[in-house]
Amino acid sequence: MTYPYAVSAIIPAAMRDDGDRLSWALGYQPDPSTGARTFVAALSSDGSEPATHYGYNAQAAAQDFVDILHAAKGGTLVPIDWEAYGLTEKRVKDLLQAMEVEVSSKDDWPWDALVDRLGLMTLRTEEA
Amino acid sequence: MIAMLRIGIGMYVLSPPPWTPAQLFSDGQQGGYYDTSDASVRYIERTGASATTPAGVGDPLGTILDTSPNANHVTAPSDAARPTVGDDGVVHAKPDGVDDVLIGPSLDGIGFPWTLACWINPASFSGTRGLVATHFVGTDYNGITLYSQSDGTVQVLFGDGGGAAPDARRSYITNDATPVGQWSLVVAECRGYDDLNIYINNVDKAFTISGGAAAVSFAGGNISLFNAAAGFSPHKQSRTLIYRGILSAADRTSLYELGP
Repeated sequence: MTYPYAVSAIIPAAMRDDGDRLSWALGYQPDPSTGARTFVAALSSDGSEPATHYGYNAQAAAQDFVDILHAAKGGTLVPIDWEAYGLTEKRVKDLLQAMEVEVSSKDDWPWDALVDRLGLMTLRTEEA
Repeated sequence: MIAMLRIGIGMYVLSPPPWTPAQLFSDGQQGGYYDTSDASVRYIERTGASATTPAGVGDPLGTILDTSPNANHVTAPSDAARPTVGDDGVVHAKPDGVDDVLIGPSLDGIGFPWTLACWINPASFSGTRGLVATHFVGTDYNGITLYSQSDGTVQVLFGDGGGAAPDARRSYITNDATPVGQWSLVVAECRGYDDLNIYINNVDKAFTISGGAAAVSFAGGNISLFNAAAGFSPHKQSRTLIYRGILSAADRTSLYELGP
């Protein structure tokens, strides 16, 4: 299996928990109740707290996630028992509508382009 | 394994086995050794010892098996958190500097001494970036962490267990920096409070102390690579050691001569 794609996604902070549940439902992370998160990169307009958005940057094996996202934005969700993951179909659709995504080849990480497009900055915790 | 050298017809002598970092743990010391150049310890899945798909160059790295006897394997907490396996002549982990991290078991309550070491090859520097930590706890500063600073200097931080009040943490920052575009071995040998040495490429480096006098908190936390509290690392990294002990000069030299 090859991993030719890089996918970056950013969602509003208020949707972060649902974003992690979606990632769990799609098999990209364990149950968030274990403490695992996918949306860990904290952002705001000037890089100061509080975070207004959260995102991730990942390799992708294929266009499966992109296909899921495009289908969802068109109103079609993959058949998953969303409630088993603490979600509803409406919340998943709302989440995907609000999710900003960039996809590129892995040689050209899309994270910086996505952050710039949204006018956001990575939150820097205080210097150690 | 004992090797034999043939030195003449019918004559053999025993030669010592080649040095490996795993030998450091022969007396049961806690810690781990993560050798990204070893294809047999790299896996795509983030499932630790049960992972089955080897991670080749270009693949996401979900697991690095610990080759010390401790089996403190490190795994990514999500698919997105997996770094990439890179190869610039050295097969290494290449985290993205956004969200990549590998986390190992908790080392609850284990105090001094500790040695942290890793090879890094930075493309550039920005911000404070975690390389390896003994007691990682989210955004809190626990245990001992080795950081790369925004000017390429190396920082050892004794965390006080808090997420704020940096003046309460003890910081040791080298006066010299690691170079850009070259592999460098950074080693921190921490015997106790204000009692440590920081080596870059096996040279003992002077450092500047700042921060408070609070005792370092070892109250729980996980082994982590590429992140600890302050920021995710984008630096190429290979051969990372966490060792509950202090290296002898001979062991430190062997680690350096082993290369990245």
